[in-house]
Amino acid sequence: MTLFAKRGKLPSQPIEEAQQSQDDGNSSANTRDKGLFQSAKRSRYWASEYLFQQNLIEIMVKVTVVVTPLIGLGYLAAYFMVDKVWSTFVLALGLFGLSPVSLIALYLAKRGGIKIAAQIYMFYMWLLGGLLTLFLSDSLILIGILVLTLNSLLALFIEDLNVAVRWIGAMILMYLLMIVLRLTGDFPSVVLGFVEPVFLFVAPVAIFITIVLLGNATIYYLRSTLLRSEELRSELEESYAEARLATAVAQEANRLKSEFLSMMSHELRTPLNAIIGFSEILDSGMAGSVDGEGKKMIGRVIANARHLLALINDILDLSKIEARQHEVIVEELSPSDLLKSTYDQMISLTQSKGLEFKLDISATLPPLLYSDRSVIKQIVMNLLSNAIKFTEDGWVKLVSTSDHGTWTITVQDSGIGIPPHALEYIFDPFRQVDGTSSRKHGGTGLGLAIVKEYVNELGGVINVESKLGEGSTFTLSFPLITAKDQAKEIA
Amino acid sequence: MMVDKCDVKTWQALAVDDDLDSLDVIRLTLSFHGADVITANGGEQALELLKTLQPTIVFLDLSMPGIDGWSLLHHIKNELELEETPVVALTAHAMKGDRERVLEAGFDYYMTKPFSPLTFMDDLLAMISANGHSGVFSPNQIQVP
Repeated sequence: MTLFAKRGKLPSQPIEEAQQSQDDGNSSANTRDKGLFQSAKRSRYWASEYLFQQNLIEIMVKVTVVVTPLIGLGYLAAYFMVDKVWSTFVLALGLFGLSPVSLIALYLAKRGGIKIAAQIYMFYMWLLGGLLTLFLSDSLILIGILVLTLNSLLALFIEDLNVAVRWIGAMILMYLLMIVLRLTGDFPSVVLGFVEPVFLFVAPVAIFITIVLLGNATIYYLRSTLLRSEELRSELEESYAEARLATAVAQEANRLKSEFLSMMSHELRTPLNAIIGFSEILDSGMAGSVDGEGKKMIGRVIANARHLLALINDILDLSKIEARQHEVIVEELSPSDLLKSTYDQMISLTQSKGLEFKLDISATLPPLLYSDRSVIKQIVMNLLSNAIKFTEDGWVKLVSTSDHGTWTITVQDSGIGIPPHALEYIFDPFRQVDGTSSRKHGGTGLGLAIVKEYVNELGGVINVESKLGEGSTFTLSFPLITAKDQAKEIA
Repeated sequence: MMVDKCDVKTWQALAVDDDLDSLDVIRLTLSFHGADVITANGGEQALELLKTLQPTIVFLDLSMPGIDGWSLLHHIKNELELEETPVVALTAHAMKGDRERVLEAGFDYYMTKPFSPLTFMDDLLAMISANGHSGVFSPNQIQVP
């Protein structure tokens, strides 16, 4: 058993973790994934351990096939030295019989029927021992073999494998002892002549203890290997079941999260419909006229309601990405067409502020590449609307280039810039450069947080450089995947 | 008698919603453009009205207690012999995939709440023209004054 003690401590509670994440709304996707990951790791671990044990059994079979004929050869040698006629039959049985029987026994054990295997093995040994006792009639040892054999059989039938295995070990060693005695001729009678009384009482006990101990070392190892492989198989099955359960639990949690998001969206939009609806009806004079201060106030109600709607949309976007409900759809697209259409969509905003808006698409950019059209568009639009928002005069630039497997998109402006201390947190939700900034410049304060999440989703990186009063540069770098890379990946 | 489908003044619209505020907003919006609007506060009331009424167009909220927008649509399209009547889903279900779900169920148009009463009619008429609904949906169902 010590051979397997090297096995490290395993992560033991993927199920509990998965259940926890169901109970606890705050538990993030990370915990869930950790549970899944751990049970997958357990499955892999048990699988490799199982294969290792199977290989060990193979080795044991081979060793037995080689060793048992050698035992038979021992018998044969003994026969020539003591010249007993009837023993020919028995020795031949030992020589040719042991090997196939061990092979069958080990094969059965490997197939999971260790008990039947042991019984067949025992029965054969019993037969051999009985015949030896009858025809060779060689002193106490042969009687000992018979007794040991019967004891082993008895232990097997009362279903104590542990005890039976010790008896089997003892018996096999008795056989070996007999071979040694036969090879050394009249050794037993010499011993008996000198210390007969001691031998009669002490020697059998000493031999028995030695045999039992040695039997432990050899046979117990074989047995533990076989049992271990059984155990491993069941552990393997168990950990597969755990992994399946964890997956199911995670999927259910995901479904609930998605359901909650959609319900929240619905419940928030319904009252907003009344707020925006009634105020616009009032404001437009569709239902009678409102003048002066009242009209101004209605205008402010509408502006705030629209801001609230934008917030709800952004929060839902962000939660969807964080709950991994957002699906990235990678398809072949023309980067220049995509950026051009985004540019076209934003140009009216720059014109109304009197800004110069430049588009610079490098000739090195491949005509087609793989990415998510709507995600890229959303990212660039968010960055551009920020650039336009924070630039009072001057220019905004959208640049794209590629080299060394990287696709770079840069959004640059000559605006107010970002102070160095703020660069750390501008990607955090609801953090604009200062508290007043949000009110002054509008926006939900979630634009850059969404950009960051989307960039992560596409496996990209976003960097920002800025100098107060001179402008900011946001640089996006995505892995460049062209048709050639895509084909390679499929192949 | 053919009637211009985009002539809202000839419409007799049925609006169904369990939320009275929403119902008022759509009623005010439609009647501002000259439509005759009949409102039903919930699915049961709508079914009752539809026994005698043959509206030009129906605006349905989706999530309502009792008979909801989905089953009302089923009644309208399959059991009430109003299969030619355009049905607009006017819903606060505005997540990704909702539009597809609604159109697949058999609604003719999908519009989301909150909507702007100022642009609502333009958006709807643009969709109707693009969809190419023939006539004012179907002349024999129109009650021309």
